[in-house]
Amino acid sequence: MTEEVIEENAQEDVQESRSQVVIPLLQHKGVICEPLVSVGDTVKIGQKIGSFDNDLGAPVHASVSGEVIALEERPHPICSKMHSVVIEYDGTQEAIRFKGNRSANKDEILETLKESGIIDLDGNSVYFKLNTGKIIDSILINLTDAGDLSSNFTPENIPQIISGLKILLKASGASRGAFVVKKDDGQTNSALKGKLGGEDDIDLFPVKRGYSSTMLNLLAYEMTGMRVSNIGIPADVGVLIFSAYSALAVSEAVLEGIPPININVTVSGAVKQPGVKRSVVGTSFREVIESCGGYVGKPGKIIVNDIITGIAQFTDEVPVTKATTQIIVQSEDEVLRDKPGPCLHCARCVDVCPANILPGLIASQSDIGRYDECEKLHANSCIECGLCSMVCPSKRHLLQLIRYSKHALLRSFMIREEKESSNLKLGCASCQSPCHMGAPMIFVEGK
Amino acid sequence: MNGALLISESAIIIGSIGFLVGIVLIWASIKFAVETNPIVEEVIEVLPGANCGACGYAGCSDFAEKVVNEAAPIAGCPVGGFDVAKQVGSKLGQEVKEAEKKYPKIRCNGGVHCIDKIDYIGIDDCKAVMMISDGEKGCSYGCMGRGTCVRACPFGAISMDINRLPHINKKMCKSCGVCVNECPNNILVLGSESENVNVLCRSLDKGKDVKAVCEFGCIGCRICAKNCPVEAITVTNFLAEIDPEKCTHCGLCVEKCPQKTITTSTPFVSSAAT
Repeated sequence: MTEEVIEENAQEDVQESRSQVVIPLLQHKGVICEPLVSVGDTVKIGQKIGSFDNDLGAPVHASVSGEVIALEERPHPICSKMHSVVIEYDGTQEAIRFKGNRSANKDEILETLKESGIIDLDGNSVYFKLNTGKIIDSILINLTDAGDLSSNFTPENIPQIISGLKILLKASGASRGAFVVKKDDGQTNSALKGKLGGEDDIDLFPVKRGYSSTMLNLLAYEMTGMRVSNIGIPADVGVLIFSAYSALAVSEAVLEGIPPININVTVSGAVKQPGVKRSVVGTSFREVIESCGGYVGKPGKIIVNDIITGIAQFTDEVPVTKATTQIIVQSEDEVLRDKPGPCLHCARCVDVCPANILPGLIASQSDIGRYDECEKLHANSCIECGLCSMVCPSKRHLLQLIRYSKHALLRSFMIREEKESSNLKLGCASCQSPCHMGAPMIFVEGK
Repeated sequence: MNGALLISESAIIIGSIGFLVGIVLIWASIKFAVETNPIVEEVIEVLPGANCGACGYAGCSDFAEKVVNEAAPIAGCPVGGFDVAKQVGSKLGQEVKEAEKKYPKIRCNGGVHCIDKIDYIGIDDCKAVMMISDGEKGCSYGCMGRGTCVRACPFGAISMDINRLPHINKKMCKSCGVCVNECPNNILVLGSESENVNVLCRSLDKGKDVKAVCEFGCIGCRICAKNCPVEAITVTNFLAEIDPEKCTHCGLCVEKCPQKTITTSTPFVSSAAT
């Protein structure tokens, strides 16, 4: 990419009220980027401002043109606080020249994807997912995630998503691609059927239930019939699963050369005009919500990405990151404040669990500190979908207790010295690769 | 064959078998004798014999063996304390000096005076809160007051006071250090009682950020460092630190601290040392 200045006539919804953007240097599961700019520098749209010379890093790009006013810790939607680059918007639309490559070969595509730093919704970078070294038979685009669908799957985007899937097929060497759609989602089904007429190597797979970004192993089992272990990834059975957002961003990055700096965000809940907003990376949630007409009443809870598995935010100053699809605002009286009661042994959590474990039993063992029993009951197989907590009539904090036991097991593997009297078998030592427990690999000194 | 003969015959047979087996056992006990250190036996007799595992070993006999082999400290039994250590030392022929007892110190003075960042609904436990968003307090270094240390203490020495901060009962505390390991935010640290001038804060945030969330947090103003007559206080990363070896317990820093972060647990040695 050359540094020649051109005028870009991008029309964003959330631009008028913006004065500064906060771009976190960590937006995925991996390592924190090192900043490439310092305070006082002038940056242009699309300029790389942080990178890490490793496959675990994903570069970040400036989403507005202006001056870097600070490099400091700012609120982050997932990690509470994270080193960020703060850019003050100077009113111009200076951008570096984006150069697409419509006839790129496999290596060029991989190089472009590495440079663009696209993050899939499960938190891994697309380049990292493609670069597993495993033989890939097919690539699936998961169209069953509600937040992803509402933000990125519009009729105008379908050709781009299909071209993104084709690029991913080329990059991975897979022979077949498919769209996974819910059976009862007639709108998506009919929209896709019309566009897939002339494509021979792209299929449409109807499935019964929705699969969020944490349930990709189960989706791989549904598609291939091969079980993926809880420390495995779908690539172990020859399947790569991407979201519609990834396909869209991949086609944008390869065909037009634009890194992911504009994100579609669905704003729903207690706001005046809910809808899909195209906003730049680094805009604070407050500005996005203000562009939707502001809050209705007093906000009680702001949840990012998903109503069940999403993360509630402690402030609305957190920025939109590359993996943000949905912002849900709950008003104060909508927030559940039930006190947990005793377990009724009704087994509703067992009925609803997609991972076929016993959430109620694991949670009660976790409650009394018997983490060895939790391990025997396969607590580590929990995919943290949150359905058990949702259906529990006794309002027990099932997911949090299971997560707590997983955390305790992880701590016993990593931190505790081996003792003769310990009743836990120690020695996981699989931390060479990104953690299978989903913990972000962040190492901050002094804490 | 009459009955008397039957009885005497069987008695002779069984008696001779018993005699033979006895000889074999006596021979075996001499031949295959396990050499035990008599000192270990003596040390085991001295120890409390509760097999509680507070020393970090599998039981009292394991600890005794390790002490005799010099793999464990003589004063390693926290339950027995100084008396037991003295007796163990006399068995081993070593003199034991009474070590100053260490207590967990709470390096936070926030409690209810530190604002909450999030409205937490969930398991009532510090570690569970810590898994979400660096804890519930506005200060990510502060005590959350959910009582993980209270439940962790094997001797029931910790309770929560009205400021939602842990309070250590020094009579019941055995200095085992379980609470120090359990605290997810590293608030507690073992310190001896003579180090009685303490900075009750461990926040490395900027002064402005600390002042916005906490009434008693260290803002790194350096007033204590400037006023200290023996230069025992250093301020790094907006946090004051007192060198206990240099400190003369004059109490000037306690008087000057604008945030009341530095406190003392006992009256000063001399209130106007200049």
